[in-house]
Amino acid sequence: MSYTYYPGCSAKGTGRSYEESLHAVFGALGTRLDELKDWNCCGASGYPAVDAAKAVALSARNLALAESAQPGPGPVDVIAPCAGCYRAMLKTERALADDGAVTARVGGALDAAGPVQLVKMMVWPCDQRAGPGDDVLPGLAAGGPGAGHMKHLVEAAQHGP
Amino acid sequence: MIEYMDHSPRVLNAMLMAGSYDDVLRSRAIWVCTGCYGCTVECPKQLPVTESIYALKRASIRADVYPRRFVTPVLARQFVRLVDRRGRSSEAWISLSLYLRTRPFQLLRYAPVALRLMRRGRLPLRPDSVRKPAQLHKVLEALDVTSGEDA
Repeated sequence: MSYTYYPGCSAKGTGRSYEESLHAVFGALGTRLDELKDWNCCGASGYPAVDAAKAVALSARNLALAESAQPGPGPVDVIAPCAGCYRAMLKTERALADDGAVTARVGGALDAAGPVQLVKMMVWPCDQRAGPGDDVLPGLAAGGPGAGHMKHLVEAAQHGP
Repeated sequence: MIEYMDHSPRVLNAMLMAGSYDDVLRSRAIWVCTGCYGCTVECPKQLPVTESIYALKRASIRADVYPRRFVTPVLARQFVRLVDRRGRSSEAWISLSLYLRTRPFQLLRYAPVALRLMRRGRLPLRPDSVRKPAQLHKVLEALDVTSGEDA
């Protein structure tokens, strides 16, 4: 079992302890985290305050990279442990799924730049489904602001050895 | 958050309806919002509060009336400049340029914390970058041409 792992800028800086413990936990669960190659910044909370379309494009590039790195078809599970990165990816995924105009513009921009392409739009940045893990970590899985990004940890716990 | 705002979101909305658009764009309140989406999640009417505030932030920058000495709009602009250039952010450089522009004397106060973080390898000085920034530049430039208003 392995996931594509999107660290984001903070996990490589002040959030380094978070990344280290994440690797330790996933290692203990027998789950590999493959860091997304050549990832870019998610745009965090600052980028959408300046340019909305480019903020979508930033995460769209990451999701496209994750898709092209995957060998087979099907949704790509990307783990974004940082709440800000998770939010940016989820926003992007929703924008691409709901808004054809945004998809065309952002997809066009990515195509024009090459070689990264948006193969398809249905990418799950993390698991949205409720599962039996919910009663293992009820507080984390209960939802509410900031809690959503913990759900993939719950799922990983279910798929563990 | 409201205690840090010069106008609460409710008042901002009333101001907009009363036509005080310019005062809203000049307010600090919109820049106090961290974009946590807590209000959007809680709103019983499912109003897109956070997205609206983001749109106001963009309009405030576009109209060039954002509060100059306030930390968050300066942060957003510096952050975007760095991400545009290198594809990744650097907490060390963002903090440094932010404090130099807004509160230079605070740098001295935070220097001991920065040094402790550096010693632990949590504040790398060398800014990170994507492999080929030119590829990302093309993506972003392609959106420049067509960047219309989204508010």
